[in-house]
Amino acid sequence: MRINAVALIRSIIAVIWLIVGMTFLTEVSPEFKSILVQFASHHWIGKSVLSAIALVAFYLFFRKFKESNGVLGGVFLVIGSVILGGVSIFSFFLWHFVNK
Amino acid sequence: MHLLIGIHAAMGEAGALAFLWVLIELLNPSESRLRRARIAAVLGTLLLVGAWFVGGFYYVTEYAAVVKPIIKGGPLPWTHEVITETKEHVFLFLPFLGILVWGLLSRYQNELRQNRNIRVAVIILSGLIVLMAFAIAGMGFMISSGFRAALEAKML
Repeated sequence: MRINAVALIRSIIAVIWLIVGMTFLTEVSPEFKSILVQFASHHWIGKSVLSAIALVAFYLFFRKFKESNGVLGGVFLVIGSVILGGVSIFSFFLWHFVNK
Repeated sequence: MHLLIGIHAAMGEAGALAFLWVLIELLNPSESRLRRARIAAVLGTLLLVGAWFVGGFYYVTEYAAVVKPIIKGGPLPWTHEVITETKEHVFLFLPFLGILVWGLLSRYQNELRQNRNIRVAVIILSGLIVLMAFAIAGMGFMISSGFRAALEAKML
C-alpha cells in the first residue's frame, strides 16, 4: 500500500490540534474530563487512545484527496503546529498556576 | 528510584537517538543509508511508543497517587502544575511525528536522493523530534527535583 504523504501530514496536524484542544477542554470542563475517565479509566489514557484513533480516522478521510507535491510546506505547517501547540499548552498551565 | 521511570527515560532517549541517526543518514544519502534511515525511523517510533506506554502506566498507577500530592505539597509545586502537565501532553506529539518521518521515508524511498525538498523536510522533522525528546528529558529532571525538594522539606 502506497502511503499518501499529504494525507499523513494533514492527519498529523489535525491530531496535534486535537491533543491541544482536549488538553484545554479537560481543564475547563469537568464534564469532558469525566467522559474521558468513563471512556478509558483516566483522562490521559482517554486522550492517548482518542489521538491514536483520530490519526487513523483523519488519514482515511484525507487520503480520498489527491496527493500534491507540497510536502515541504506541509512539514513546515506540522512544525508550526508543534511549536504553537506546545507553547500554548505551556502558557495555559503557567497562567493557570500563576492565577490560582 | 523507580524502574518504570528508568525504562521510560531510556526508551525515550533511545528513540531520540534513533531519529538523530535518521538525520545523519540523510545528510549524504545513498541507497544503503536510506535503508538504514528507514530502519532507524521504525525503531525510533517503536521506542517512542514504548516510552508512551511505560510512562503512561507509571503516571496512572504511581505518579498520580503517590508523587503528585507530595510535589504539590512541597516547595516547588510548579514542577507538577506547569512542567508535568506540559510534559504529559506535549509528549503525545512525539510518536505521531515519528510515524510521519517513517511514512515520508517509506513513501519517497526512491526519490529522496534526488528530491532535496523532501530530504530537508525529513531532516528538519527528525531534528525536531531529537530536540523535543531531550527537552522532555529536561522536564523529567525538573519534576524529579520537585519531588526531591518536597521530600527534603518533609525530612528537615
